[in-house]
Amino acid sequence: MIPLSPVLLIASAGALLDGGSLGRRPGWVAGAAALVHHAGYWSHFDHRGGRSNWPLPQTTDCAELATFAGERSVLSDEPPRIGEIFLLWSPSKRRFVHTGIVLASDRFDVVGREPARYECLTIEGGITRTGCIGGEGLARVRRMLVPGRGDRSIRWMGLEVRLTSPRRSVA
Amino acid sequence: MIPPELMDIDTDDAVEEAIKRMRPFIRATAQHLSEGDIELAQDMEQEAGIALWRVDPTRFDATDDEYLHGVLFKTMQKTRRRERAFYR
Repeated sequence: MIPLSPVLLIASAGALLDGGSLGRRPGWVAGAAALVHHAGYWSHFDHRGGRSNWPLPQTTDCAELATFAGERSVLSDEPPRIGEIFLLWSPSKRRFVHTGIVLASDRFDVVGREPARYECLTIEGGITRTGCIGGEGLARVRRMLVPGRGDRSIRWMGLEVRLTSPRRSVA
Repeated sequence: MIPPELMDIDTDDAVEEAIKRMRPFIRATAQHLSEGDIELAQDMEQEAGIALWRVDPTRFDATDDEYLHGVLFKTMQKTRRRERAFYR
C-alpha cells in the first residue's frame, strides 16, 4: 500500500502541466474536481496490488468533496497548507464551486478589517485564461484563498490513520 | 513571497477583466448616484474596482452578474454616504 503523501500528489499533478501553457485535456471539462481525483488516484496507485490508496471520492461536485471531508473532520478553515485540496466558496451560489491542489501558501496582509487572505500557488483544472471558474483549462494559478469568507481546505493526509487504524477496522 | 516566474495564470488579470466587463454598469451607476458631482463619481468608480478585487472575480461565472451588480451598487451607495457625511 502506498502511504498518503502530498509530495506524490503534487508531483503527479505537476506532470500534467504542459510546460507552462494553459493545457486542455479531454474529460476535464466537467470541472476541477476531476483533475484532483485523477492526480490523487494515480499518484497513490499501487501497481502491484492494482488499487489506489487515494482517500477522496471520485466526483465532479465540490460540495460532495466538502461533505465527505466534513464528516471525517478533515475540512479545515485554517490557513491552507502545501498539498491540501482547496475548496473555493461562491457567495452568490452559496456553495463550493471550485477545487485544486495547493502548491504553496503565504499570508497576504490587507489593511483594515478584512479577514486574513492567503496568496496560494495552485494547480487547477476547469478554469479560464484568467483563472475564473467555468473554463476548460489546466494550469498553475496564483489565487487568493480566504477562509474567513468561506474557503476551505481538505487535510486528506489525516484520513490515512482513520482508514487504516486497527480500532476502526474492528468497528 | 512566491516567485512570479513560476506562474502561468495570475488571478489579478481576472480583476482587470471584471472591471472592464462591469465598466458600463459602474459608470452608469456612478453618474446616477453622484447627481453630476464628477469627483464623487470618480471616487465611486475607484471604490467599485476595489470591491471587485475584494470579492475575487475568479469565483464567479457568467450567471453571477446580478450578484456582482448588487455588490457594486451597495459599495457605491456607501461611498456616496461617506463622502456626503464628510463634507457636511
